[in-house]
Amino acid sequence: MKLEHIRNFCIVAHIDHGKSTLADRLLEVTETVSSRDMVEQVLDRMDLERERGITIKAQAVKLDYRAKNGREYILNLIDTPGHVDFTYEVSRSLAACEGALLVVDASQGVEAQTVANANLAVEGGLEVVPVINKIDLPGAEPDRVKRELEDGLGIDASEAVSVSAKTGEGAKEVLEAIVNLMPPPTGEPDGPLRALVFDSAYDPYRGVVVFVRLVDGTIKKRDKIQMMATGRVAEVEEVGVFSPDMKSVDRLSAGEVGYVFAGIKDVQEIKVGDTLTGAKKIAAEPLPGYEDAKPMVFCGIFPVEGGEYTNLREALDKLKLNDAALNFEPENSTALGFGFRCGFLGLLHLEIIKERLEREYELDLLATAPSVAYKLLMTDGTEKLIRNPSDYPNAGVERIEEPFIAATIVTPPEYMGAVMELCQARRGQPGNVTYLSETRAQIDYSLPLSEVVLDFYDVLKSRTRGYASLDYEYDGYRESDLVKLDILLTGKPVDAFSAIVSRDRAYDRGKLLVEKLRKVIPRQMFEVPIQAAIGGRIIARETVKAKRKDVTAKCYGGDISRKRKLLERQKEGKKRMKQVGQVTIPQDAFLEILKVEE
Amino acid sequence: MSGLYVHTPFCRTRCIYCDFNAYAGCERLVGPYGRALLEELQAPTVFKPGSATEVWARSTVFTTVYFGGGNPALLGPYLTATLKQATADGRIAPDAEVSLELNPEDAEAELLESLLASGFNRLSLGWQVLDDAILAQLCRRHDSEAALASLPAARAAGFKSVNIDLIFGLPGQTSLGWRSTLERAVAAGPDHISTYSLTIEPGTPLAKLVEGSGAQWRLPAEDETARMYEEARDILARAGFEHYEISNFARPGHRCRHNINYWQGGDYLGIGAGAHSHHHGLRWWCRLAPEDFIDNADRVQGFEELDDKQRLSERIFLGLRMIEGVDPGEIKRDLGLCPEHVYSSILKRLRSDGMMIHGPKLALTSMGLPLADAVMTDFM
Repeated sequence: MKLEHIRNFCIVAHIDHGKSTLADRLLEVTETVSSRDMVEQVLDRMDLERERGITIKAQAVKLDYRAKNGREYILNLIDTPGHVDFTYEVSRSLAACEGALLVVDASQGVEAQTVANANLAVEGGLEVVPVINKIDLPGAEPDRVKRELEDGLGIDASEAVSVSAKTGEGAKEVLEAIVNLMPPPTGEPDGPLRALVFDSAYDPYRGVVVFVRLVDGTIKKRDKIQMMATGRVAEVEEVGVFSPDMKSVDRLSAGEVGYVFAGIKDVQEIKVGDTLTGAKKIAAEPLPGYEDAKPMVFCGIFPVEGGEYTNLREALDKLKLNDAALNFEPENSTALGFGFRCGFLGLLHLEIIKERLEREYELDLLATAPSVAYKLLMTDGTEKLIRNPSDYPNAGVERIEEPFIAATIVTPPEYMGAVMELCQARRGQPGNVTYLSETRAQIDYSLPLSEVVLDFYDVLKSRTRGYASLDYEYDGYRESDLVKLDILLTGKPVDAFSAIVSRDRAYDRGKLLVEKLRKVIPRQMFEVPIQAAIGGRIIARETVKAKRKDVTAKCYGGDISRKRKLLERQKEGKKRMKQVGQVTIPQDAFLEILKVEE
Repeated sequence: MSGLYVHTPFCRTRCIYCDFNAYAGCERLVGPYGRALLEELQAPTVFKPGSATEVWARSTVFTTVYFGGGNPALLGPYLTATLKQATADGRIAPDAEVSLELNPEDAEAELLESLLASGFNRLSLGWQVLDDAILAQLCRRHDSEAALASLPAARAAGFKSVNIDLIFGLPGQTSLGWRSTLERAVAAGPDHISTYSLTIEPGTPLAKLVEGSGAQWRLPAEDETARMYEEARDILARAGFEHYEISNFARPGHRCRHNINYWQGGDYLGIGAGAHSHHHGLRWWCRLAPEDFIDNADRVQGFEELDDKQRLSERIFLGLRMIEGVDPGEIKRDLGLCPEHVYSSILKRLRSDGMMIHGPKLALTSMGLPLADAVMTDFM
């Protein structure tokens, strides 16, 4: 296939604006999927993706399309994950394309992820074709949305396509726009192989399948290839295309999108963003933009039952096969026993992993409050990166830096006050305010990531009645005035409750935490003092009074079995709680810590 | 030592806190049920026919007998007939303790005299509380006047050992009210007092009521109930009652031997609907519904065979109900397992925490007593 008959494109959108539904329609209209095999969100293969309406893994699919000009085209759709946590993956997917469909809901208009994705696409040099979706709905205002795109984002909306992905109206026009507005790929079919790895997946029978976009050269079975970042060499076992199931082909050449099997057993050996080249004819330069996926959010994950530790390790190992961004190392908490300190791309990534562990591996888990990695600059001139508040040293810290994010919040103007108040309370520094239209404003804020990882998004939603949307990108480390807040039970610090918080709010936070804990820790055999401390100084104290009475009246008529069952149940209940020193802590206490909204 | 328990599953009306195996409005079943009891007493069904347990059930001579319910008085003529038959069959030791539960409203001279004549020698009167408002709220059929009158009536009939059952921790009850109940009960001169802490049993009408919003159903706070228990211990000790079991107090010589046998892991045969039996680590129980008990030749509904570990934990948690505790040497002799060895770290902790005494016996301290269940859980 000649390059000018190929189009590589992706669809980007804010969540729920209809990205996956539009993809479904394009698959249908091009008869890539027969109507018999059609299910909703064809490309979202995980149950979790369909349930949550989000795309977690990138997918690719080849569409054969005869355009109105009578020519046959190959349209490669690269479906990208739709969440800020996966920005790096999104940017790699975008790098595999020449054009992007920017889907915007005709009544919702431009949202934070619209802004973020549009910016990514424009920065990546992609031709952006706006698609105004859901025009069949009563509240649709396509003209307003076009204005928002033009005035707010500077995107030419004159050739925007109006569609209803639900009914299929306008789907053909979208395909025409792809052919006519997006440029074909450029590349050297005869040059040394350069293929961008934009994703990978693990197949339990065949090993790692590598998703590639060829820029130069060709690739076929039995070729020796090399990964340019890692240097690993492998022999190609199969190449193919997604239509949408994997279908092997003789070769892939410049401009095309497909998959490669090369006997790779571990997803860690293949990095998203890396460049595949020929082992014998090595390209001079790799394709630009490779980075290691960096975990940004960390939390401890512990099995509720100590005996589940091995199962948890196996489950994490299995998930990691398919998720290079997940990392974990053993952690031993005095409060929670043996578990793992896990690193995630962001909060959604954390939630997804935890949910998959619980659902697919039937594990009962306790997760500690998510935290970020702090950079400690020590008085002796060294630097320490800590991912767990309990690793904060008692002395020798000169200053501390924490990661910041550049947040984009899009909201109706009437909620701007509420949004700014929230950002201010979370130590935010305001940036630009842009009016996208009379009904939508974009507010930029610089915020410490740690202020966002707990409940920022939920609170933002509730304070704006669900109207505001949020997107962000990481923005480096900056110094902050932070202290370590410890929670002590019966005078001993409980590592799982430690947190690093801003000095200004440490007192309020400590007071709030001990009050909450007093309510959720049941009476024990003894009085349990709960204290909050900064350094060695106690800043707040509450007491759980000693249990005074716990005795059943009688064993009537010799019914000892019943009494025994009662005690066994009581014991069972106790076993489901965590024993920290002498104190028994219910799981609720660990969850309560996560809810910090004052 | 073996005990015999005879259960009467009938009541005139059900009390709202009760979840015992008892039914109101079953008068028509009294005759058939009484005959089934007599039958069962002569040839008890045991889940392992031909076993040593069956031989024991059919031949042992009972040193304690306890008629409980429900309301045993509703058995009518079968009440005395059952005891008489067992005595005639030589199943009752001459010096046996023979107890009967009785509601104050049934304590009439004629019945009391016939009971004494047929061999009952200990009465347990269900006073519950001397507070008419609370008694009415609990749907009891007596008032405090009837309660107070029942004791002299028992004495007049010739009963030399009388217990009074009291409950604390009731909705609407205060420390002050409880003290008054205790003091008046002591003044009436019983030989034994049981003070049971109210347990809200799931599924009872009371459980629903206390969950509701009615202020009159609010339970005293945990601290208040704990204080009531302390008051009972103080007042009864000063009045000359020995605290010998978590809920039980007796004048010297009046401890309830039947119940002590339960706490010491002894053997007992239970007859009647839902009654439990125990013999050397085997436990079985009769069919729960009175109709089923009457109609089935095989009256055993279920059984369990305790393993050594279960027997050990039972011996401890039951033994801990006794104030003097339980002798680990005795347990080792009976079961071949040494509690001090099996539970060494738990015992060490409970002792250093002040829940259990330092000494040769396994026993709760004054601090441990009101927390008995929490302590016992450690041995499960």
